[in-house]
Amino acid sequence: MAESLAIQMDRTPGGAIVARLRGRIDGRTAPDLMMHGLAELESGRTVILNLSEVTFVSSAGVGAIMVLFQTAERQGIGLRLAAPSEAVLSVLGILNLEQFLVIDASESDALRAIGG
Amino acid sequence: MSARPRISMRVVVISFTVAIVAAAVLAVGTVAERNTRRALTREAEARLLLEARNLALTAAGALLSDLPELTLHPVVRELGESRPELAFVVVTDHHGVIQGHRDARVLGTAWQLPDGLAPAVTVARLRTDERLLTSRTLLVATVPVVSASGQRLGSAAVGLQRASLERAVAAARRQQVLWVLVVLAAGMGVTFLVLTALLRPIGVLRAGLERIGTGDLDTPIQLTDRTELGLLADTVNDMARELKVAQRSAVERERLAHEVELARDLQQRLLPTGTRTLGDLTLCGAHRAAAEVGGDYVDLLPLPDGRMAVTIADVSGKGLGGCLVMTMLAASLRALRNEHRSPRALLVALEEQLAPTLKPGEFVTMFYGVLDPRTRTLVYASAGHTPLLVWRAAAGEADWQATRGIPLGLMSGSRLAATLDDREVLLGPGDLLFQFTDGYSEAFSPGGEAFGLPRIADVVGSHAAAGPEAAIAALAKALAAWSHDRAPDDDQTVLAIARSAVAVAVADAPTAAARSWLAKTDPVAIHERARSAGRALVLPATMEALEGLRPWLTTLPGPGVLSVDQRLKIEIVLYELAANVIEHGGPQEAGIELAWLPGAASSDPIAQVREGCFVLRDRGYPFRPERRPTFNAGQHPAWKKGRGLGLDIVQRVVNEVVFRPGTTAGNLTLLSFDPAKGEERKEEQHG
Repeated sequence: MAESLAIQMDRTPGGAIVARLRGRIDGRTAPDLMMHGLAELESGRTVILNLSEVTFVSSAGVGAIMVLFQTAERQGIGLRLAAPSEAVLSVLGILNLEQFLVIDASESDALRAIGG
Repeated sequence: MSARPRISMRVVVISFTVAIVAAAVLAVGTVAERNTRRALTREAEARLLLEARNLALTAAGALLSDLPELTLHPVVRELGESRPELAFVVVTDHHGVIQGHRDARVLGTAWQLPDGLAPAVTVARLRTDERLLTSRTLLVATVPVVSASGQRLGSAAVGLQRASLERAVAAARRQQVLWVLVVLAAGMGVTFLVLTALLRPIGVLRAGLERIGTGDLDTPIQLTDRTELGLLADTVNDMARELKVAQRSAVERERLAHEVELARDLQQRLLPTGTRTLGDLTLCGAHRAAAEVGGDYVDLLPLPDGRMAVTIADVSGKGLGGCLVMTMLAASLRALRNEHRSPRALLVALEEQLAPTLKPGEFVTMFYGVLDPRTRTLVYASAGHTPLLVWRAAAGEADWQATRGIPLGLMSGSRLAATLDDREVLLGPGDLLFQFTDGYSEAFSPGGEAFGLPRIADVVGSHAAAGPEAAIAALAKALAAWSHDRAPDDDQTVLAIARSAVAVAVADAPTAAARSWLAKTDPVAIHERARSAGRALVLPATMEALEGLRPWLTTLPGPGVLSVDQRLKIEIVLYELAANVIEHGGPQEAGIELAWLPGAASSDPIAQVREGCFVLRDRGYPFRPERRPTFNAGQHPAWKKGRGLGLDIVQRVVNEVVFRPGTTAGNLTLLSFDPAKGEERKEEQHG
């Protein structure tokens, strides 16, 4: 079986990090996302999670995103969610979490917002 | 385990060895015996010839003398005595007359060779006129007696008993057999010793395997053997080591399974079961565990002031971890529930206690409310939990209550507090509160479609009138059908609170005094008295039959003399209740029975009605309307509206209702009316 979550990391010319996620963020893949995300946040750069191709987010997935968000916040750096899919939005909506997160309609919107 | 082998390897090998050796020896022995016989015969022939020749030499001189018998007789006798195996020793002259013989009496008589003699086939070298004859019993050599000048003087004959030859052969055979036996015995002994030495490792191996069989995997088999058996011992030792590893992991698995079982048991024991009533409110919690232990929690906790704390929560982690968080949550909640009147404050305090024990990313969605049975209000706060469903009976529609609250443990600081607020829900007659975990809304069909909130509202709404238990049961059935009876992926936990559709006795009801006799008297006795009043009406359980209510009411003492409008109200109430029983009460072969027990004889019909009592008796399912198979879902929304109105009317007109399901007389509903009440309380709100 193929990896159920693919994470592709890119550095933009402006120095931000864009992580493109594809697949499911569930109990199996959430630790992976958390580990990669925390490692990138170490660098002190803004991280954009492109969630347009995420097909499912479980509670563990929400947990991972929120841990990343709060870590970024503590370090005074930005974490933005770009183009979240319906699967992402509905879970965040159920848990009333979208009010705290920075959500951009598209990746380019996110890049524009950070001036990169 | 110490059973001996059925056939010892020693016996097998020794038997084979003996058989082979014996066969070989027999084959060799047969050949050897023939050779022995031949050699003995040859030797006997040669010797016989020699003896005959010697005799002939001796006899040559004697036969030339005058009395040859005097010389020959002792010679012959001596020869015969020295060789007892000789049958005869004879010397004859050239006339064939016996001149020398052991037996002196035959001297001078003619000599005749015994019968049956034939020339023998021999390798002995015969001189002129010498003969070697043989028969079955004898071997005879005849040699001519010749003078020095070559003149033939007679002949000498010596006969040998063949039996003597056979005796020699038999003696040789006996010796051979003896040797064979000695060699065989020695061979068996040696084979036995060799085999014993070879088989000793097998005994060690067997003992080792028996040890393994009894579970001792720690003692390896000590066997220094350079044959294949040594290799086998090593293999067995390896096997024991691997078995031990496998056994340890099996034990580990079993221990884990046991822990999961314990966790599930703990969860089940913490969660309330069955139904509780609080005034005219019915509370019901239910939980269905997923294959994996989940972290769902539902609880009903009485508060000291008569209110009831109701809560439902879902811990994001599954398995033992989720269950432990849930247990901690239950303990913290029990400790905190009396300290905070505000659900919001309680959830915030709970997060403070719980947060340090949660792993990063782990969280709890939680609904917490406080239910007041006097005001029928629920004050609640919801931390990221699924929205609260309030089924409004009067409107026949779902009233979803969504909040902004985020889950416990996800966000640090005071963010939770900022998103939470205390909400209030007022329960009208027949209303149903339904709060559940996402195991319900997120139950998937085989096609991957979630059950979703609208479907929950539909199912709950269409069974709300039947009470919370029925609504939960109906929803469980719908979910099972939706997921094609697959075991749920997530715990399915629900809390349902329903307010009775009609005014059932509540502690602070204003009509406490009027109510007393109805509630306190044995309902079966009331039913009996009402029947014996002789005005009972038995109707078949059809809607059409309920048209019979109106004429029946006009015949009753009391109701019969009320105004048409007042009687109509009574008719509507009885109709609504009877219709409910007909639609949802299950099979009613005996029909439904209505009886009227008039109040104290009085000329005032109003008083007679107020103190009287209607009894509705049915024999269907008590409170299990959803089982009625002919329920027509197509007409359902219309019915819902009608029922809502009907219950409202009942609420307004009825003085008191006592429902006693499952008595010896069947399900009894006792109703008392106050004909004046409808006019007085028209403006009263129902919720």
